[in-house]
Amino acid sequence: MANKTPLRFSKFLHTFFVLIFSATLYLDLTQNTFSLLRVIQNSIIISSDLAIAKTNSFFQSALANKKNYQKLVKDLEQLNKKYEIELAKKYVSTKKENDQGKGLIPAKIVYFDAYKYVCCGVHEMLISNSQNKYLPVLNSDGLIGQTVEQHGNFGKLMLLSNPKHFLPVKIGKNYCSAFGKAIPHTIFCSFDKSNAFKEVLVNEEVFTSGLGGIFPKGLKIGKISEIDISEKYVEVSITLNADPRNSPNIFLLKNNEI
Amino acid sequence: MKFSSFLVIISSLILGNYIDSLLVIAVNKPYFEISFLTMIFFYWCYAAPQYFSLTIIIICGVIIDFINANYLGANTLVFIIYSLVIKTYVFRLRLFSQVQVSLVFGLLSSLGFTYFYYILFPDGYQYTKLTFNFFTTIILWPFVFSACRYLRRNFAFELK
Repeated sequence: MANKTPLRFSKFLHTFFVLIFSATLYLDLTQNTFSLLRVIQNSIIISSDLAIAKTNSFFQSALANKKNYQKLVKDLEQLNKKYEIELAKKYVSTKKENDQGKGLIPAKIVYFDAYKYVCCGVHEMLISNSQNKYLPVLNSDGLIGQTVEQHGNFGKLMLLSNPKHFLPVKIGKNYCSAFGKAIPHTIFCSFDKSNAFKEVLVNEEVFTSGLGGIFPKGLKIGKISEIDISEKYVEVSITLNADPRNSPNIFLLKNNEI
Repeated sequence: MKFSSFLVIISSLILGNYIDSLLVIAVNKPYFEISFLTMIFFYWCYAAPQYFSLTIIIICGVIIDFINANYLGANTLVFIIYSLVIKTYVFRLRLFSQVQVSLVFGLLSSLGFTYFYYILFPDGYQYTKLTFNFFTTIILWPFVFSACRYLRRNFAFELK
């Protein structure tokens, strides 16, 4: 049996291209040299989604009774929007009854990679509002994250489950800074087992503490799903009420209005 | 190599990539990681190494990088390394049983997975994912092999 393969291929060329692409990757990772490609890819997805939606609606309206169909769709969209805004208002009103939904700025999710959200820990999305930075964002189910920066014509939203995101929360009488671990729909809180620590229970509700100055106090975040007790620390898993994949409609919350 | 064969190869890789993302989104579990893309790539390197040239590998890698909006070279680099390893040992691998080949490819896939997550998406890296990826590659390889062989024999080209 031959020890060496008779297949003809250049190991030198392979090694050469490994080096070339390592350099390319390094440059792109550290200096975002080829970020334009990703912007093009994002814009192709956004435009193709729009084109598909428009084409779809064109053919549907041509087939159905145009007037009735469009009226129904419009009614449905309005009702859906009203319903979602009512839910968001209801969520905010847990804080203050008289200010129902006063500070809500409607926006839409324009780009969200659901695959990387689940697989790769990319917990960010692009939204239509690019003007307001560092505002809490919610959907009809509750708080989902905060706006962090402008990204072209869009705003970038960092989700609560992002490992770079910290959210000051209150669980019973305990205060902590909840952080993400890139696990969808879940955040975590770590407590030192000191004298100040009061017992927490599974299914106990978690609220924002209002510390940090971005998120208003008293918004319901989710429930404790798991408690992991070690020798010195207690780590609490919190399942969030709101899933960012549920609806494209989101609302920015003006802090000073609430 | 005919252009139609190239189209079959690139389409199968894109389909693999699409199935990966669909499954991950549908299952929605933090440990779930499956790589049909890698297995289909392994197949073409293993079954038709003389046709699956470096140029085609680079083109496929760049296209997959573009489709996934990854950093340029993320998939391309790992594809070239896979190709280098498999082409070096391809005729030895053909003497192995399917179980042995599955084990080798499972290991290669795990190494690629580790590189991919550790460098590009460290936030998403988990040992449970790595283990899941290793075992699913071993289990699914015979099926992917059969499906790709059918595809090659009927639509791409005969191995000479």
